[in-house]
Amino acid sequence: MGTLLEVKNLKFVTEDGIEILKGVNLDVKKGEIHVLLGPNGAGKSTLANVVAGASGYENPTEGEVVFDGIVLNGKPIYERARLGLTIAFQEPARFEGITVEEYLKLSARNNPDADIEACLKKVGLEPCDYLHRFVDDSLSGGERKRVELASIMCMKPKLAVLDEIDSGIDFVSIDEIGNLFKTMRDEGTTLLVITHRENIAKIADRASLICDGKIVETGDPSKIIEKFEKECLTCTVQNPELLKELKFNK
Amino acid sequence: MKVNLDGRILQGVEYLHKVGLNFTAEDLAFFVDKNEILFRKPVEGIKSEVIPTEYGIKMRTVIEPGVKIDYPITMCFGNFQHGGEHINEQELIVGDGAEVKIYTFALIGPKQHLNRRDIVTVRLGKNAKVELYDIHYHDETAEIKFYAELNAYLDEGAYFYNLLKITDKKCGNFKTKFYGELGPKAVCTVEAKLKATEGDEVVVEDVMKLVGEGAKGLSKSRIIALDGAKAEFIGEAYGEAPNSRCHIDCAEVVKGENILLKNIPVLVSQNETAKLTHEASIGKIDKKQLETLMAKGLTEDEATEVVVQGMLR
Ligand SMILES: Nc1ncnc2c1ncn2[C@@H]1O[C@H](COP(=O)(O)OP(=O)(O)OP(=O)(O)O)[C@@H](O)[C@H]1O
Ligand SMILES: [Mg+2]
Repeated sequence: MGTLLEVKNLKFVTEDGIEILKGVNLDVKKGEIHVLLGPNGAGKSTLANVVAGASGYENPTEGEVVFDGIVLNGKPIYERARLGLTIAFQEPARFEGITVEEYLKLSARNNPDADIEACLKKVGLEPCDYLHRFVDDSLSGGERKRVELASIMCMKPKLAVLDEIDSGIDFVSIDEIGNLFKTMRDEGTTLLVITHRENIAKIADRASLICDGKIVETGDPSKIIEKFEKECLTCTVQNPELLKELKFNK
Repeated sequence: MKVNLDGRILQGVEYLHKVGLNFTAEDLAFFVDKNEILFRKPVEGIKSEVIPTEYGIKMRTVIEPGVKIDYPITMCFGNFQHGGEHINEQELIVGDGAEVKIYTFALIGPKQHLNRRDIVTVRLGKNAKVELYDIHYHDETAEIKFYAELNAYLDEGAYFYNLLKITDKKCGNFKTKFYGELGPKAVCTVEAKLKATEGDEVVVEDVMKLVGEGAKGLSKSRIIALDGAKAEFIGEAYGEAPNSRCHIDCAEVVKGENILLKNIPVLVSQNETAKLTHEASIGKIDKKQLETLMAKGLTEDEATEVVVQGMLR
């Protein structure tokens, strides 16, 4: 399997001089589900933003983001999207006056084969109940995330960075979301999945552990999960909330 | 009744299509060009008196108690051949338990020079239900000074919804004032959606007086200001009765340069169980909204248009 995304020695320092990413090296292979694990504040979302080219993150302080052989540094988010790289933000925005149907159609505008209703069904939302709802504050947190996941499926990008898309979603069984990721992968979307749930991490083809702005290890998910639990959980003793969350989510 | 298809009516209908309303000439119940009545259709259950005056019309409409009209009543108050000083006075009296949905269109044709005042008073009886849509189309070549006043008096349990919309072409020098007096358990929602462009000066003022126990008011305004526009919003809520609630929500969005915006909420509570809240924002379109759309491949301009159209919907 070839490399689809290559992150090379990536550093990101904020305008205030805070170094958040301290030399990240990561490669995501074409056709894999790659899970990124790491404690709160490790830099996961920042890495996702730099990869996707969110505004203010297009130009990393140092290093390179290479996607499908193209150096992305400096490219705005929509150009990256047009190249086939998208992101589901940890907190996707809400929109007044835009229906779920319109939102999904916007997402699908470069994918004529998209079946909007089928995508909605796959994330557990009945089209007849949801197509005409607005993507505004009236959707619950979990519903908003499901719509976002459906929108990624409609778009069918080459690579999707999913930043905690599963948080707030109470899938009947965790297998359900895992299977969904596998289907997306099998239909041609490589996934970089940020999650706190071990059960989702398990279904990955490979995983990486990020800590304090650096990738500590990449490899077999079970090994990475083990390392995360052993090292990060003891390390997050200062962070009992996370510990609770991790136990709870099992 | 056969509709007199005066060219002005056809033009009016064309304007309605431009603002996304698919009414035909036959759907209209009333059409006036300033003070020249082009046609008028009787509507069952509604008594209406119309008097043309030198400067416009005076209209008094009564809907008897319990009358429920299940199709929208549409009325055009236009300026096509007649501009200048223009005053409309309208009174709508809706009996107890009556229900009606009314569209009024203010359609202003090309090159009109206008100083227009619309003064509308709506009286809702107990448990009456009224939806009033006030949709404008102002031709860009018209010169417009417009004052639109709406006074609504809601008796116990009445429901009133008003939407004011000017989202095409231009607003001109446009000032609107809503005054609502809400009786016990009355519910009132007023929405304003305006797009102000170069040279426009817009003032939206909403005043909600909650005089009855458990009355509920909501004032929601969305104003998009483009290059060279001025816009001001003033929202006032007076919580005089126990357990009354009012929320004022105004977002003014800037797109361009040389824009002057003001947003003034006033909350006055005269009862400790009244709850008054407000949400006011002025600024550019939310970055997170743009980015969420741009991640789907939309350029910043495309994403802006999507967000703006949604807000003005
Ligand atoms: N613009 C910024 N300015 C200053 N500090 C920032 C900024 N953005 C992020 N940080 C800090 O950088 C660190 C990494 O943040 P990031 O959001 O990437 O973490 P994360 O791994 O996604 O955490 P979580 O699991 O809570 O989502 C955090 O300590 C955060 O407070
Ligand atoms: Mg994060």
